[in-house]
Amino acid sequence: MKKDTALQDELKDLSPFLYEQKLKQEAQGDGFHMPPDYFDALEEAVLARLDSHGVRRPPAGIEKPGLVRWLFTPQILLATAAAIVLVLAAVWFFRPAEPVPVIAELTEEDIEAYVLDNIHDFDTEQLAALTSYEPSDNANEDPSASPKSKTDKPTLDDLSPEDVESVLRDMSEEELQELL
Amino acid sequence: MSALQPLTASLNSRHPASDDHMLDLMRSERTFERGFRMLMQQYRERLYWLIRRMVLHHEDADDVLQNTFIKVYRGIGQFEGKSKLYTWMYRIATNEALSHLQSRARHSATSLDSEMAGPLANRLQADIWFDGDRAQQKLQEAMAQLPEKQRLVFNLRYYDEMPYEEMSRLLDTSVGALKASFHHAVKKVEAMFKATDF
Repeated sequence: MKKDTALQDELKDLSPFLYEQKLKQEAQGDGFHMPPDYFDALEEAVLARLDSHGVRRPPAGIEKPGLVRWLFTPQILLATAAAIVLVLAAVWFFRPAEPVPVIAELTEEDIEAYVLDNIHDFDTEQLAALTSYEPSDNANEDPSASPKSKTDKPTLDDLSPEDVESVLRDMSEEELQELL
Repeated sequence: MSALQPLTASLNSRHPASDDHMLDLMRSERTFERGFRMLMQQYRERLYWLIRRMVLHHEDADDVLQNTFIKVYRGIGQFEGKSKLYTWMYRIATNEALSHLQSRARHSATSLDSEMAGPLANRLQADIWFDGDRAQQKLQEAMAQLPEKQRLVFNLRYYDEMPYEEMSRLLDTSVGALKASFHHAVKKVEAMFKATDF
């Protein structure tokens, strides 16, 4: 305990008599003594009394909370509940988007744009399949006929010179006469 | 004598344990008693003299001091750390000392004040553990006539030289009230001392 040196001045002001007694007490003691080795035996005496009372056992409640107990403190439980709510909200909010529509639902413009953007990924047969005429419902149609000879066959203006030459080679005499 | 005593006594003299260290030891069942022994070694003298100057006689002081440590042992789980550990134990010790004096007064069917002062202080003459001269005995007799709380304030200031601010925290009383109480006690003790022919 930190001694207060102001006590000397205080006693001098209040009672010079007690101030003198204080000085005497500091020099000679106050007359009180105790048995020798009293404090050495004190610990065992106290513990023996605790034994006799049947209470020599560490009291509960002073345990610093271990990890498990710390996890169940109110503050941690509240924080855990809040974290779970946040996680669930994030999972729901960022849930996967609707499935990608099947190709059949795509418009022709979408398909055309995709093909043009990725033209090099397609071979000629695939391109031909994409640009082929729709089959006719006419049952009398000659299945061996060239696609260009079908009902909606393109006019000569739509064809390239090479195509025209090819068409002409494929035409019969009668068909050529009709054309002229 | 316990085998631990020389070791702990040596440790205490060279390395006084901090309150936090002792409290940490007493948090574990495995080290509780070790921490409690360190606490007793750390504070036994200060508490003894606080009690002794209240009850005057060694046997009474020994009894009260042991009761104090038993209450500390059983109640340390309720110590919340809002005050210093020593302040908390000091309060227990003063309450135990006052309870002891009140119990003695009930047994002797006399009050704690002037009527009790005579028997309490007169026993000093026959006490083998008091060898003060006549002046010192008369001083103790004068102090014994003070009301118990005022005597406590007087002892804390006069013998322990405790600052008023610390005393205020210990006794939960304002500094002004404590100063007034001590000043009044000084005047009364001087007057009673001088009134006695020795």
